[in-house]
This record gives sequence, structure tokens and C-alpha cells, in this order.
Amino acid sequence: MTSRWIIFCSIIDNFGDIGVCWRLARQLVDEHRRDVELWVDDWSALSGFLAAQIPAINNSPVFPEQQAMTAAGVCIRHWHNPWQALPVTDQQIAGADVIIEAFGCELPASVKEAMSTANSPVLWLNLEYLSAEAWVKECHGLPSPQNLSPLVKKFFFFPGFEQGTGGLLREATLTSQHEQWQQEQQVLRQRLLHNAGLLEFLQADVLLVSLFSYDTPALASWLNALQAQTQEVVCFVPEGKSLAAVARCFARDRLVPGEIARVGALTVVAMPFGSQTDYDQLLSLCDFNVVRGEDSFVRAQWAARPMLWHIYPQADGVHLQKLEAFERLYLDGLNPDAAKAWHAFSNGWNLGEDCHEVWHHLRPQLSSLQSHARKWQKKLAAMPDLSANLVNFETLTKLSAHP
Amino acid sequence: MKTAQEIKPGQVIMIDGSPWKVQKNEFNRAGRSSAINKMKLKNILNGMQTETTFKCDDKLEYIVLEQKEVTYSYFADPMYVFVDTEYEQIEIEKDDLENVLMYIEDGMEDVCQAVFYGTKVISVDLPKNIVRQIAYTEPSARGDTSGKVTKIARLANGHELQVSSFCEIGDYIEIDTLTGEYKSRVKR
Repeated sequence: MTSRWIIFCSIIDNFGDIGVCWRLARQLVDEHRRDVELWVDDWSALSGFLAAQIPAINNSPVFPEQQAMTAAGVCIRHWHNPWQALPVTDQQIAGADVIIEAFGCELPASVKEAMSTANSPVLWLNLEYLSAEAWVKECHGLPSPQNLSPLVKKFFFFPGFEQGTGGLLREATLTSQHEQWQQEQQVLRQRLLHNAGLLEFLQADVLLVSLFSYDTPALASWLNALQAQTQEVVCFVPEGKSLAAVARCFARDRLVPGEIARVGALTVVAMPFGSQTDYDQLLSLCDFNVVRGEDSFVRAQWAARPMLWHIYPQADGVHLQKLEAFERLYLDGLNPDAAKAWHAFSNGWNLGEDCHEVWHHLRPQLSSLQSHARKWQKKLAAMPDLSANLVNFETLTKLSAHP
Repeated sequence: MKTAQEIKPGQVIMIDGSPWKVQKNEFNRAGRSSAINKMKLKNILNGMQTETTFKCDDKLEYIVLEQKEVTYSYFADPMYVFVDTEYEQIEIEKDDLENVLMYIEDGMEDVCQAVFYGTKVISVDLPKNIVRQIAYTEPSARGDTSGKVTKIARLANGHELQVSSFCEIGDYIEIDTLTGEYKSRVKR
């Protein structure tokens, strides 16, 4: 019998959380034949997200008013806040084989209560945030006893970059898809420019970059540096916080998707929020990607292109330790000049400093960073991905419960 | 109930009806505002050890245990023997002294707290500040009396710690038993 998985996702900021949960849900369905239910608390954000993934949903007369729907084999349900406790629903959730709290969100109290009377084993996983810090390996897979019932076993599950962690989400065909896009990159880049209405660049030696960051003072200085380059630059900016920040740099109130802004060597293209596949392709075709948070950060690594990570800023600066931990892994094996230039740019960006100068030091290193990004992607791809590790964890837990 | 981040080493929490002594409780910051506590636990009843993780605000059932004042008497391999105020002898296993073992030495006069679960002693707490004599350290660097430069010193039981560079063999020093750090040189 197919095992039944339930994922709880609380949307906090933009589409990062739902992006990860949606990928995971789809992969569990498509590649591991799991029966997956995804509970999402922000139904309106979800509808915007899904409309970009599955355009047909946009025309559905019942969405988003309805409380449940099935898309791409995933049953999506509305997690009302506060939780509308219905014993039948709680019992039905508590009867799942695996329950995931994504990014440490909290299960509704009545669901936990129902779990305490479960009559079959429940694997309860707290799927945590991604971090490269050493303590992650020490905490990954450890139990978290909850005194609910001997049948309910809770564990912490940590994504990560190294063996001994939960790994990263990676669909089975993802790396070969990137390889194919990059083999056809000349044609695809021309199509990208053509679709943006930038016909004058079709035959030009133009640097393509993508920008999906949080707002930071560093952004304006980087755009200044791009304007002053001799080589033309086209910067694709998907809808979001960075688009508003870019508009300010051009002294505009806002930039709407489809709009183009130009200064000096820099042309900015405002893009609508697109599908995950379109974004993967954009990352694959650009010479340099600025990404943020967790989802786009991971996708940029699979794209095997030079990138900058704008880490989610935390009040007490703890994010800088996380950045440093990633840097320690990521820069290993890169030539010292390129590593130094990358570190200076990454540090400057994440500290909100002027990045004009450091960008000019980084630019000549892009080809070293390109080959390094490919090696890094191969290294990561040699490990099992997050969904496979989760499924293995389920199997091992079942085996240990029934020796 | 206490949250996972409020639980201190030496305290006892109940898991599935069994008492577990917290031997270590480490705090790590995850993404956004979440935090995680990793605990090393020892089952008081059967000695089994395990490691667990909790969200920092997970509520845990903890139990308040009886405590008695004791002083260290002698080591009778493999037990450490303490004496209470009524001269009753109390034997404690090495594992249960993990956090204080480095400060146990013959002749110590510190008044400690023995913690009981039923009739079994599960840990001994030392006073927050204790005084120990330096058994060995390298000679002081000339001229430096600032205390900012440190060097290694060894206590009578072999435990080593960083002390100010002006400390000498035979000096008495105050140590913070919670952090394990040298605090100052003291006169005796």
C-alpha cells in the first residue's frame, strides 16, 4: 500500500516556503509514488504561486474559494489559522504514515491530540532550515520525544550540503536538464532576449545576470558598477522585493513586469513571477545569479553558474555565521584569487556595503567561478537528494520499529 | 513544565514515563527565528544514554529532586564517596560526576549539593566558585602583570585550564565551575 505523507507549510515570506514544499510534494508523488497531502495556511499566496506553476488553475472557477484541490497529483488543503478542529480531519491526519512540519512550523494542537491516540505508527518529522554549519550533522536525524504515544516518533531532519545531512532537493532529471539547456544556450539566450524585446542584443557579447535578492544598500552600488562596465549587461529581475529596490535605483516609483529600464551599459528587465521551471532555466542561462533565502539559493547551485547568496538577515547577525559556514564548503578547491574576490563581494553584499569596487574584482574571475560551480554541482549531485533521504528515513524507522 | 531552552544540565525530565537526566543542553540557531536544543540524556533507571533535539520552546515535563549538602571524602574505585551532614556515606559513579569530575581532588572542602532520584544520587553540583591550587605551570613571562595574556596551568588532579600569565606554581586560583574558566588569583 502507498504510504501517506502530510506536509504542513506556513507561508512566511514570498514564495520560498511554498516553493520548497511544493517541489518536495511533487517529487514524493512523481518519483517515490507517495500519496501526498499539502496543507498551506496562506490560500491567496498559494493561488498566486500555483497559477504560475499550472496556468490552467488560474481559470478554475472554484479556486481559491475551495478548501481542497488536487494539482499535479498533490492534494492541497487549506490550513485555516486558527485551526478549525474537526475530529474527523484530525483523525485523518493522525492516521498518516509521515507528517512533516516544514521549516519548524507548529502542528495544530488538536492534530497532536489526535496523534496521541493513533493506532498505527506515525513518523513525525520536523524539516528544518538549510544550513552548512557543523552542528547540523550532529543534530540531523536525532529523535525528539514528545510524550504523545509510543507509536508516534518525532525526529529532526536537516537539509544540508554534506554526507550525514538530509541533502538538498533535486529532481531526478534536474542536472541533465541543466546540461541540455546549457548545450543549447546560444539559441535559448537569444530566445530569452527576444522575448524580453531586446532585439539589439541578439548578436552582441552581452553579460546576462539575474537578480532575486532582499533589499540592501549594496544593490544600488552593484547596479552602478554594472552601468559603468564596457560590456553590455542585461539584468533579469523577477517580481519581488528586489524589483522594488531596482526601481528606486532608476528613480522610478516602480517597475512592472515586462518593463525595461536602461542606464549606461545596464539594461534591466522586470519579469513576472514565473514557474519554477522557467526560473531554473533563467538560472541556467545567466552568467551570474544573485539569489536569496533557501529555494532560489539551492536552485542556483544546481544551475552550476557563478552565484551570490543573499542570506536571510537575522537580527543578531547569526546569519553571518551561516554564510561563513557555507563559504567554507563552497570555496574549497577554488583558486585563491577567485575565492578572495567571491568572498569580498559576498561579504560586501551581505553586510550592505558598497559593492562597486568588489564587483570589478569579481568580474575577471567569472570563468574560474563558472568551472568551480560545475564541480560544486557535481559534488552535490553525488549525494542522495532530500526526498530520497526522507523516504529512506521512513523505511529505516519502520524497520527499526519492527525488527 | 519548562521549555527546552530553560532546562539546565543536571535537571531531570520525564520521557515516556522514565526519568532522564540532562547531561548537556546545547542551543543552536536555525533559520529565521527558530532555535534548537540538542540534549545529551541519561536514563536514571537503566543508565542508557541518548541524544535528542527539541525546538527551543517545546515544553518538557521536569521533576524537582531532593538535594542534600555533602562533602567529598575519598575515591574507592570505581566509586566516589561523599559524606552528608549526618556523616552518612554516599557513593556516586564517575558518569554521574561528569560535569564536576575535573574539580574533584583529595582534601577538597567545598560544600556540594547531591541530587537524589528516590534513594539514588544522580549528580553532584559544586558551588559556582571554587578555589584550587596550581600544581604546575610554566614560569611567568617577565614584566606582564596585565592578566590579559594567558597560559596553561595544571591542577593537582591533572585538569588543565587557562590562567593569567602571572600565576605561579602553588598559587590559589578561583574558578567558575559553570563556565570552567579561571576568574582570579586569590590569597590564602
